[in-house]
This record gives sequence, structure tokens and C-alpha cells, in this order.
Amino acid sequence: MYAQMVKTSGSGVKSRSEMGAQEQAFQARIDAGDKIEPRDWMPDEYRKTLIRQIGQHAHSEIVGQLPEGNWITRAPTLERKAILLAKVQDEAGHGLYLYCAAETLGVSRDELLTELHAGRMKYSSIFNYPTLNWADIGAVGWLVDGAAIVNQVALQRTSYGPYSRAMVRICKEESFHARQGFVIMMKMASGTPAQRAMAQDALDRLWYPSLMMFGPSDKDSVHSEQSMAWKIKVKSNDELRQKYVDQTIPQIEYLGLKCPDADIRWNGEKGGYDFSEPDWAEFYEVIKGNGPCNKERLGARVKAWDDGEWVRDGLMAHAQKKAAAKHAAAQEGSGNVE
Amino acid sequence: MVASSATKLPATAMVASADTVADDATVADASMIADATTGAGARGAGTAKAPTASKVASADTVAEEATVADASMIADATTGAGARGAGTAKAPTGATDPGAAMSAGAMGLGKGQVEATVADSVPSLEQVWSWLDTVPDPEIPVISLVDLGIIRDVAWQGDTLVVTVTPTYSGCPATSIINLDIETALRGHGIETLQIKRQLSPAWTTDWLSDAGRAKLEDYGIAPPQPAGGPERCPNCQATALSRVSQFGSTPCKALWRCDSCLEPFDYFKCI
Amino acid sequence: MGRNDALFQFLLRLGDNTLILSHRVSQWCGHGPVLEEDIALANTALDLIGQTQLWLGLAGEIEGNGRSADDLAYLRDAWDFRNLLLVERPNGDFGQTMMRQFLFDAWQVLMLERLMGSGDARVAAIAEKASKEAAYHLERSSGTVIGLGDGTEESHRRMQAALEDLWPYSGEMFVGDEVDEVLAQAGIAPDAGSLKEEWEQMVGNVLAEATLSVPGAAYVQKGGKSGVHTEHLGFVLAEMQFLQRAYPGASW
Repeated sequence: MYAQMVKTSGSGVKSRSEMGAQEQAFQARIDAGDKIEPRDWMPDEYRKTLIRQIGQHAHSEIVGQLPEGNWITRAPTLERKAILLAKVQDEAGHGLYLYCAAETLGVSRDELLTELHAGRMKYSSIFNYPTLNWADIGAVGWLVDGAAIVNQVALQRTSYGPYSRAMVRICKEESFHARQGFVIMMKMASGTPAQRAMAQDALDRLWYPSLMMFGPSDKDSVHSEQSMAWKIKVKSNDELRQKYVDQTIPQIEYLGLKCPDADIRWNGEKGGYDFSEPDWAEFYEVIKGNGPCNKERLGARVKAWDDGEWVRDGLMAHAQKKAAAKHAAAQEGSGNVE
Repeated sequence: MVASSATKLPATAMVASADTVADDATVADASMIADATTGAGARGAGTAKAPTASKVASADTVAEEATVADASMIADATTGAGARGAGTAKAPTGATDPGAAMSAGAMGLGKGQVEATVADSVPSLEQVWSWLDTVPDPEIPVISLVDLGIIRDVAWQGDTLVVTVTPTYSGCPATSIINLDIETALRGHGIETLQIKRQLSPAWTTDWLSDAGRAKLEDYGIAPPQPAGGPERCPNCQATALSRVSQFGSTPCKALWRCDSCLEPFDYFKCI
Repeated sequence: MGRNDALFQFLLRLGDNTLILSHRVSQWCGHGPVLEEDIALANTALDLIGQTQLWLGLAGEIEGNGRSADDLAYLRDAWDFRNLLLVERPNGDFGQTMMRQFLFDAWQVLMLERLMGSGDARVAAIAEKASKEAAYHLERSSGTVIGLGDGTEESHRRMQAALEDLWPYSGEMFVGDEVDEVLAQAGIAPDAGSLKEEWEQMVGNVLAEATLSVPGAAYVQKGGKSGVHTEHLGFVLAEMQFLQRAYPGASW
């Protein structure tokens, strides 16, 4: 998920005649459905675009720990606490995995983090919204992971091998989370009046932000075409959003909740729901840094990084001492010193 | 408002999107839809919309294509959030029958089996084991609970089928969902009285992963556990020059490694 | 004191230790010094919660009043908690968190080892399950203590300060009372003091490798085992128990 408005390098879609022989062969492989592997030749723009996309995805996973981490200490039962802890660990693990996938393209994790901390790289807009009641934790699993899965299922067919393989496994783990999120929603929606109110409140606040996760409307999505040609992006923002709405509305009804969009209508002709667009002005403000939690989220990550500097330095210094000692021992010919 | 149209429309909507999903070769999103449909049955009074043939069909379509674990979300809806932890699981209310059948279908068990379950004599233990071997691990759905080695025993005690399960580790957050999946699968095969027992000792070890399970893990891109404490080879290119990135991965049972040859990051299932 | 009463108290001690420590560790989620540590801290907190479910679950069973692990975790006030003061110490910096973890892990590994031979089969089974996890935690926390103790000048200074800050709280682990005596006699749990020597040796070895100096004999801060806590625990519980207290009887 979690890749919105990823800027595509280069200027528009290149036609075959503009490509050199190497690039033509590259494009032909992509068109044939081949996977591109780390040691294969690839155009610079392809590489840069992928780094941006995978990097943004990884950043989203680690910033995404924060709104959920917010409720770990307040989870209402031991089992819910364990499930939430496992989910947050999972997200951090996916983040780590994705940073490694980005590293196969020749960028380091530290470089990517520097870009994030300086505000030059983004993470998904959804994490700039707060989690205000316990049902939000259910809604994040159900709606946010649900939207992420719609996106990532498509990305399983992306052209870059390590990214596409990562998506297969990550999707499985996330659908487990979506399932657990839905269980929380069912509990809340069938619980006391206060719990039902929490569930509705969570849906009301997170519905439109979850629609924004797919990025702007296709007509305003300036970066898409080349990314589609490279199969870095596989389906358009609007196609994915439609699919998400179509799968989610019956679930809302099942829960007995009310979708905050009063204009939701089944459209038999297109075989999908008609729905209201989110407020795109708000979306662009959130992207610019003016969402309700932008400052806290990025601030927390920067603080964690700065506070952790002595730890990283300390562990690094120790590792170097050990390596030097091992080297010296080897020099003396004493052999197998561990 | 919405509700008036809702009573009729979702069925179509669900079939439609389940198909689309199937074409994506994974069930991730369809499963939740299935959830909503079955749920309607399970929920009983009030909002219940009896699952229709077309919905069941859609779940089957989904199952054909692909992964199974996600489809088991259905189970949640069928039994509500019930069946937690150990103890005798209560029989779901009558309304859940279609749900159970459907989840079994979605789990790829096949209709024939489902229909053939109400037999005169109790199913053999061998038969029960083979059913359990189709219940996927919820997070790594390529391996079954039997492959994982957490099903320690299956036995008939009178009319009650007792399934003994060992958690992989104390805080395994999948425990209640695993129990639910076991229950749903066995009920789908007509087992009526079922007890799921938790057994802590002897503690689970990765030695109990089956050979089939190890092979399936590797195929899926996860290096199986090795006594040496690290992966034997890259699951992507089989090279043996490997580096450890992190002692812990996305789940407690995994560590993250990288292949020095093809550069693939991959999970290693830790040996415990 | 009857054997059952003693066992109930002892199980509360074990379960409250893991519950409160898990709470503290989980406060790091998303704020760790490096992503690997975020993951490891979440993993540790998760293991501890799993152990809490087992210990408090058994405690409720032994008590026989129908209280579940959740009831015990969420509906007792501070004076009924039986955890060591050590585990409720605030997180401080990452060094303090890891030092606290290390001092606890070393004790927990020894305790679980003994409990695996408990005369009570239920206790032994939980100990067996938890001991694998505890061994893993100890491996990791000792590695971090060594790495940071023997790292840079700053990391060394911080780790020494953390050690001195926490050392007075380590003594409580070895102070026995009637509960421990009853269970030791019944062959259910070890005598509290009997773990001391081995613990000091284990901890001493790691601290030596970490180039940290073991503080001299200090006044032992104690009270948690019998329900007299520091001011910190009240805030931990206020946060942890909020939903259960605000919406009594709801099912989550």
C-alpha cells in the first residue's frame, strides 16, 4: 500500500523510438511479464522511481506503528494487547523487509531515513490521522489494512522481482490483520451502546482518509502513465478505489454501521457503487504537512532517531572493537579466536 | 436511504468483486466480503440475510484460484468471536449451517466432502488428520497446521473429538483464530461435538515441522529452520553466501536474512 | 498460610512481573533507536504478555473464585499487585530499559529453570514454555548490555549510570517471605534466596565483559512482592485498565 503520488522520474512515457536498444530490450521483458532482478540492467528513471515507491512504502510501515502503538498500553484485554503488539511488530518487520528490498537498488536505509526525517520523502497520508478510541484499532485493521491489501494484491504483479515477491508474503500477513481488525469491529458493533458509538465514530473519521490512500483521482494523477508502462504501478488509483469501496460497503452493512457518505448508491450498470470523492483539498494539505498528526508523527520518528544516536554509535564501536581484536588475533597467528 | 437498497444489492456486488479478486489470484480482499455474507447467516435474527447460492458460488470461485488462509476469515463471522482458547467449543446456532458449508467451500475442501460428512459411524482418526491437514496456518497459509506440528493429538473420547493443540510460543496471537479455524473446518465435515485442548508441555519445537512443511516454506520464499541456527541456502537462488539482517522479523518465529548473491531479502524460520 | 494461598500469591508475582514489564517495554513501540530494536522490543513485550496470560490464568484457577487472567490484570488495584519494584521502574533511556531487562532476564531464566522441576505439573509446563523465550531475551539483553557497556565513552557512561540506578531494586528478587517458604517446602518453587549466588555470577560475567563495575552492597528497595509499590505503578494501571474501568462489563 502506502504509496501515493510517487513521482515518476523522466518526462512522460517514452515511446519505443526514443529508447536505445538496451532500453527497448528492457521494456520488451516487462511487456512479456518477466521480472526484473537486482543485478539486471535497468534505466535510471526506473530505478529512481522504484526507490521512491518502495521507500515510501517502508516509511509508511514504520510511521504506521505510531497510531496503533498509541493503544497498546490501553488495550482492553490481554489477548487484544497481544494481537496488537504482534501487528505492530509485523509492521516494523515489513518496514525492515522493504528497506532491504530498496537496498537491492543501491540506496541505503540510512539514506532513505535521512530523506524521511528531512521531510523530502513521504509516507501514507492515512497515518497523519489520529486513533481516538479503541474501535479505531479495529478500523485501522479493517479499513486501512483492507485498503493496503487491495493495493498490494495488484502489486504482486509488479515488474521488480524482490518487491513483487515481498508483496505476496506481506499480503498474507496483512490479510490476517484485516481479519483481526474486523473481529474487533464485530465485537464493538454488537456490543454496548457506547461500543457501537465508538465503532461508528471510528468509521466516520476513517472512511474518507482510507479512500485517500489510493492517491488522487486518475485525471489528476500526473505520475501514473510511465509507472504503468514499467509495471511499477499495475492498476490505476480510481480502479483500486472502486474495488475497495465495492468490497467494503457490504461489510459496513453487515456490521450494522452507517457509511458517512450519504450518497452511496449501487450502480447496476457499472457493477459497482457510486460514491463521493474525498475532500481532495484536505488530502493535499495533509500531504503538505498540515494533517492533524503530521508534526507528532514525523517528530516522534526524528526524536527516536536522534535519541538513539548514542545507541547506534555504541553498538557500532563495540562491533569494530571486536572485529579489530579478531583481526589482531588472526595476525598473531593464534587462529580461531571468536 | 442506503439500507433499503442494501438488502438486495450486496449479493451482486459481492459476486462481482469476488470474481475480480480471483482474477488477481489472491483472496485477500474477497475473504472479508465472504465474511460479511456468511456473517449474515451466522448472526441470526434481525439483519440476517440468508446466504444465497450465488454467494456460495462466489466463494468457491475464489477458492479455486488461490490462497486459503484469508478465506478463513469467514470463520469469524460464523461463530462470532466465540471459541476462545481451550475448553469445549459450543455448537454454533442453527443459522450457521450455510456459513459452515460456505467456509469449508472457501477453504478449498470441496463440496463433495462437505456433503458426505454426515456418516453413520464416526470418521476415522486418519480421516480427521487429513482434514486438519487442509487447515492453513493463518499467517503462513502455504503450510497447514499439521505441517506446522502444532496438532499434537486427535482422539475420540466417546462422542467427543478431542484435538490437542500446542501453541508455538506463549503469546502467539493467532491462537484463538487457529482454534476457530480448526473448529470451522471440522464442523464443515460434520463433527458435532468437539473439544480443543491446549497442551503446553512438551513445548513446541521447530523439529516438529513436517518435511512437507519445510519444503512448502522454502517454495514460498521462507528458509526453513536449520540446527546450525541459520538458513542453509537462499530460497530464491539457492546460493549459500548469506548475511543476517535482524534477529527478529515480522513475526516472532522469523529472522530476516539477505542473500549476498542475488541480494534477495528473505525470512528465515528460526530454530527453537 | 495454606499451600493454595501461597501458590496463588506466587503466581500473581510471576504474572504481574511479566505484565508490568511488558507494559513498560511496549511503551517503546515505534520509538526505538533503530528498526531492529523496535521489532525486538515489540517481540519481547509480546512474549511477556503471553506468559502473563498463562501465569494469571493459572492463578485464577488456583484461587477458585472464577476470576480470569483478564479480571486479575484489569480489575485489581495497585496494592493487590505483586510484581517486583524493578519492573515498574520508568523506561528512562534505552540503556536503562535494556539494563532493567537484563537484570530481570537473568533472574527469570534461573527461576524458570527451577520451576521446570516444580512438583506442580501445571507450573512446570508453563515454565517449560516460557523458558525458551526467556533464554532468548537474556541472550539479546546481555548482548546489548555488553555492546553498549563496551561501546563508546558515552554509551559506557550511560550504562554504568543505569546499572547504579537499578541495582538497589535487584535485591528484592532474593528476599524470601512466607509465600516462598511454604512453596519451597512443598517442592513447588525454589527458595527465593537460593537463586542469588548463581544470578550474581551470571550477571557479573556479563557486566565484566561490558567493562561495567558492579556497584557495592546497596540498600535493598523492596515492597512490590507484598503490594507496597512505588508511585509509578498507579499510573501504569490507570492507563492499562482505563477501558475496563470506564466501561464495566463490556466485552472486547
